[in-house]
Amino acid sequence: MKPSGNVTSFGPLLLSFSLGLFIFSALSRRIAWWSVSGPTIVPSATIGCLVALALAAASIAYSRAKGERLLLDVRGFGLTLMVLFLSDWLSKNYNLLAEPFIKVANYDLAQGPSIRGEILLGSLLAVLVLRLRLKWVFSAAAIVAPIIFTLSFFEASNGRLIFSDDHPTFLYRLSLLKQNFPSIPFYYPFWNGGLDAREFFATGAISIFIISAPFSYFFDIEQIYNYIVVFAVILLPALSCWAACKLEKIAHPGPAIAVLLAMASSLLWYKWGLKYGTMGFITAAALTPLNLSLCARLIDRRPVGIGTALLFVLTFSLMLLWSISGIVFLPVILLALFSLKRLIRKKNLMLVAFLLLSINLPWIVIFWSVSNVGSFLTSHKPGFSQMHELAEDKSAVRTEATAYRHKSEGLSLSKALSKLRQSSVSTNPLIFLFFLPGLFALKNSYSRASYAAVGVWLLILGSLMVTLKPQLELDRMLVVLALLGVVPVSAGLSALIRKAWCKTGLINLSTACLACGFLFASFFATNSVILNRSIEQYHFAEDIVPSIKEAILDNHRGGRVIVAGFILHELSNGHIAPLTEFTRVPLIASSPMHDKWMYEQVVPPSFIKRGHEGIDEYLDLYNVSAVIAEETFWRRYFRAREGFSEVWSHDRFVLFERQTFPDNYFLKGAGELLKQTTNSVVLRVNTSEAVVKFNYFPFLSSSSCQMSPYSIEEVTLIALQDCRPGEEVTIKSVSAFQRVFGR
Amino acid sequence: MSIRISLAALLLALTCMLVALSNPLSETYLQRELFDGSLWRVYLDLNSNAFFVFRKEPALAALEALMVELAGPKENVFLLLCYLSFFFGSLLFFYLYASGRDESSALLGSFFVSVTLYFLFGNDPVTASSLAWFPWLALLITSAFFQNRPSALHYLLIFFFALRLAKGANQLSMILIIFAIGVAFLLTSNRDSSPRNVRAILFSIVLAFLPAFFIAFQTPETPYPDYHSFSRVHAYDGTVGMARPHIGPSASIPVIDRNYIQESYSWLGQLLIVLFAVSGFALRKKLTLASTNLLWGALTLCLAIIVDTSLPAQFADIGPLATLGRILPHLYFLPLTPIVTALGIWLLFYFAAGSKTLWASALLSVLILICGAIATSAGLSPGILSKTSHLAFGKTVKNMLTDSGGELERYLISPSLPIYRLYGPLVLTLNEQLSSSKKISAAPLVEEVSASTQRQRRLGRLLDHDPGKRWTSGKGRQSGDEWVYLKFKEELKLFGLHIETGAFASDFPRGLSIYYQKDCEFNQKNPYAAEKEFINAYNDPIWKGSLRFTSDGYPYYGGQHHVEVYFLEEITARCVFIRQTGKTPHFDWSITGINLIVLKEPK
Repeated sequence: MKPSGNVTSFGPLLLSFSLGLFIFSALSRRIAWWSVSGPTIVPSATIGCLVALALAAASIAYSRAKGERLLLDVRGFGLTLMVLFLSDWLSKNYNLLAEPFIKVANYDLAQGPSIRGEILLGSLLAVLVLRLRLKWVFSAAAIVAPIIFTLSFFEASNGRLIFSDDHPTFLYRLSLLKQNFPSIPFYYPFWNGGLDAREFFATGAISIFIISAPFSYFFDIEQIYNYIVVFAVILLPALSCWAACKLEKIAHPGPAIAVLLAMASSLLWYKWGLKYGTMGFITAAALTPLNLSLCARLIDRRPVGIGTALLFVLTFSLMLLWSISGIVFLPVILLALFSLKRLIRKKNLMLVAFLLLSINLPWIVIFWSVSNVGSFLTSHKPGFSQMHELAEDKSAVRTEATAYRHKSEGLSLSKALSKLRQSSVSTNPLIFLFFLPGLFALKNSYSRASYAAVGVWLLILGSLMVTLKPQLELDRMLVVLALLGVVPVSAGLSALIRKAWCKTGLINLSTACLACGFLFASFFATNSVILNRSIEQYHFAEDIVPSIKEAILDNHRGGRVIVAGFILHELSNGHIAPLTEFTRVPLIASSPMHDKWMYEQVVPPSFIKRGHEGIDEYLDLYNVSAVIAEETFWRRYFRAREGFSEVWSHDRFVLFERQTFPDNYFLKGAGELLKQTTNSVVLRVNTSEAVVKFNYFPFLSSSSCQMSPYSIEEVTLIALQDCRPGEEVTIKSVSAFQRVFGR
Repeated sequence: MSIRISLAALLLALTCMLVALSNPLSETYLQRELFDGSLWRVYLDLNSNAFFVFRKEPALAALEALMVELAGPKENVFLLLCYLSFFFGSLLFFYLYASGRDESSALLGSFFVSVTLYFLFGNDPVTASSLAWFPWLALLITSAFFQNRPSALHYLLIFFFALRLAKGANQLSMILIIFAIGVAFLLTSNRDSSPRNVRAILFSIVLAFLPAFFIAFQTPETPYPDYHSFSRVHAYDGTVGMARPHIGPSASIPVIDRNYIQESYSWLGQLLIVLFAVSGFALRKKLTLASTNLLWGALTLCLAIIVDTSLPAQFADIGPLATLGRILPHLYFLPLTPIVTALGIWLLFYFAAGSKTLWASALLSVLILICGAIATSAGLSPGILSKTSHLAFGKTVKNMLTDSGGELERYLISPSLPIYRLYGPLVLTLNEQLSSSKKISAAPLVEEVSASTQRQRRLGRLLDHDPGKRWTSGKGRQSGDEWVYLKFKEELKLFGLHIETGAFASDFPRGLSIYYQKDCEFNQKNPYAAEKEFINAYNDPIWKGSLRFTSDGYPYYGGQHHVEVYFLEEITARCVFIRQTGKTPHFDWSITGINLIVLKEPK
């Protein structure tokens, strides 16, 4: 089968239509007329696929009889788009191309099919654009769309900080990186009596930090965080796809279409980017199209310039900082292995390999050793989206017997197909319908092979492998695939539109116009998502955030503040991680960065078992001066307890002051806490031995004393020995090199 | 001859305007201040219930102020100024591009189009302010499209009139500019001899749009009450889902009364399409390629109006007007049908002027107005498209506002107005009364119960409050003759009834009337036959949902399945007779329990 050139024959048109119909049927299950409750046209996917195959067979027979070459005609896929337009697809829930609607509590209002109005209007406008050859319209749209999306995001934010789910955690990570990069990982004493701040590797926070570095060093992270989000979620994918199209030498309006489609590839893109706030994944995924095109460019037969080589090293390294992204490129590595002999001799390629290894190997080694990757891969930790779902229903989290999806269920084709169907509803239909013809529209055969191989690989990862390794959340690979598809799809749509520009004919014009109509509607549907008028709602910081910050600052009295019980997304729908950076007051909470997936009291069980006495002992152990209670049980508990007085409240959050607390960071011995920074603790020790109320880790070092662990039930504190009384002691982490290779 | 006719028409126009001035019309909008010192005001359309911020064309408003200062207060001065500007702009446009420089046809065309619009829309400052500068801009853009090298002055004039149009039409300016460009484009579509100067065209388009873009950013947000997301202020109009705009500000619920738009404009859309078709046929020998293209454009426009006004909501929603309302900022708050219909009428008179038949414009005008008077039963007075009852209620509201010293302004000039209109001003105090009311089960207080379905087992379910078991009419549909009768053991003071639907949420009554009697003695066998002997306490032919209030006190209709009825005034009744008066072919009327709503005794 070959890509179509100047096809006017019926056979290839029918063949392409049947292939499009096959894809659509396979993804649809049942196809109904107009709306989900409409009359059934195709009762099941099997029947739809069989009809499509019969049509394909007929088209092959017809082509043979007429002596036509068997080609793919992009217009045939355009005809499938008409079927999709008339079907119930656009009325399905969680559709990207859905009307803006309102979600109230747990009730989703059936979405109206009125997006067809936008598609029709866009198609009508496209008639003008195509007939009058207003080629500049696409470029203008590609410039205007990102501007409008950016404005819409800021309109939705209304001056507030995005605070949905993991966004505050990323803000916290960026703030820490700003102060400590490149000395990571490190000891962070402000949370939970001191913790190992090492999650920058696993979450991909470093890539977004490096991209935003020029600004984050000059401005407060809190002030520019919304801009960073806009850049990563809206602009970066558009730039990446545009650059990839340019590398692929896709003719106008291909690159402009790529910009528009990249920002409207999938509803899931915004779910992960705006709602879940997984900025590491988003940054890596956004760079994938560019990196794939660069990869194809590196392995093809043309010489590689030094600029291209360096660009690849930079973008690929940035992408790799979200470590799972590496597996996306396995098929390309395999392809490269076939031509290894030739590639070794290729100019600048060894330089690329050397730079890639020298930049990335060190951090990969650190990551592997400090983050315990091996155990994660075999663990039963739930995926991120599931943690979010669990968090939304906190009662589910509290039930210890909750059955989680994170248990490996083995390979299941039916589940894989179901996953694929679910995801495809949220994907722009242009992408899954025009991916195949788009591949054939790519000029570079290496690009074609790379996109095809990676496409199939991601399809397998995102559907089949999800059930096998659920903790890796591989369904995200379908989001990457949708974005990756933008490049070939833009090539395919460019070919379709150029046909309508060059030739008359009803099929040329109607298919191109309908595709443009979908593109037009995609823009508006995406704008609705960004305006927070879609089923996937994201959140901004509410009044509680500055209020709780003030309350902590006013009431900590030099001690730590503890959040009772278990807290997930209760603070304005986001994590509480950045509170320590907002206040510089040491805090304690269970799962401030959402690293626990079962309900877990902040006070360890052995202390809780001993009732008031045990709880007080724990609070004393960590020098706690105030308690924040959000859960009803703990609010009642502290209201009823003597020695605790309610000093502040906001909605469900109540702050209780401990009337008496040790006001001392030394459990044994004597001394004074001089300073806590984001990576160290500075003390003056007045006795030769002391136990300080900071958590012990084996990687800690002290400037003068000897250190050892001091355990009290589940708590392990730092014991200092051989100190010279009156001397200043600085406790901090050893360097990353020492952590990996030992002291 | 033609000059004499022109002069006569001009005189007639001026006379009409003066007559209009001396005969003040009631405005179709209620207005209130948005904030101190702002030219932007909050407008509430008495007809369509559209609620938005708008600003009268500042230059004409200033002129109005000056005239009022010189000649004393006159109510229609702004309207007159707008229509004068529209009249002269149309005159020039028709003269240059329609009538082949025949001044009589142009004059009559522009005069009659102004008169027709005046009679159709009445004292509608939004439409008038929007239309005031439209023909001028259309004229300049068309002229720029025709010329190969428009002068700097030409561009300056385009910008000036675009600015005036943007300031007069505000949110609607985008639509008017798109229309003006469309007209210019179609009128110049047969310039085969010389190629278009694309740069000049593009520059003109950019200049025309620039002020409108600026206004889109400048327009303040409408102070919408914080309605509950699934609530309504009208009866359900068949819309699937809850469409909201893709761009710009949004409101929690749509408040425009689609039923009014359909009732008042569908006939006009249909009439226009017929008149355009007739015009096309009558002028078939005179039409140039450009005029033919324009005629097709006009027919498309009419089709858009018909889709918007004559099709069921789920199809109207994908029509061009509804779509434009969703994709252009701020247009979600205004019905586009009136302004687009006005533009369609303007185009019709363009063709009438182009026919160079002197009586064509007059005939068209008379035809449209007579059809309007028949279709809407409004008579031949200005404001044919307005609902007389709505305008009358507007007057009542104004009087109430004067009496209350503006205290109630924010409640009455709000999208909740249809509820005040239906229930009367007592709704204003209902919120307070509800807080001192309680619900009690009717079961222990009932002495006798009967219903249109008399099976005993079912009758028992009427009062048992079991959400899974129901009394039902048993027909699988509602035909409007179902009823339930309750006789209490003693006289009760009632403030309302709560008729539970339990698990049968779709089986709410489609229409509801509640009657009562103090002594419960009637001459007929059953209460249904004796309906006339009862006193009506509540009547809603289309059940819209229970009355609810926002946290700020604005009333709205909650979900229809929650059947809670308030009488607004306490009644003393020994028996109540509940009638289901609506019709639906698919759902029963089901009741799983009845509660009485009573006011708490003051402590």
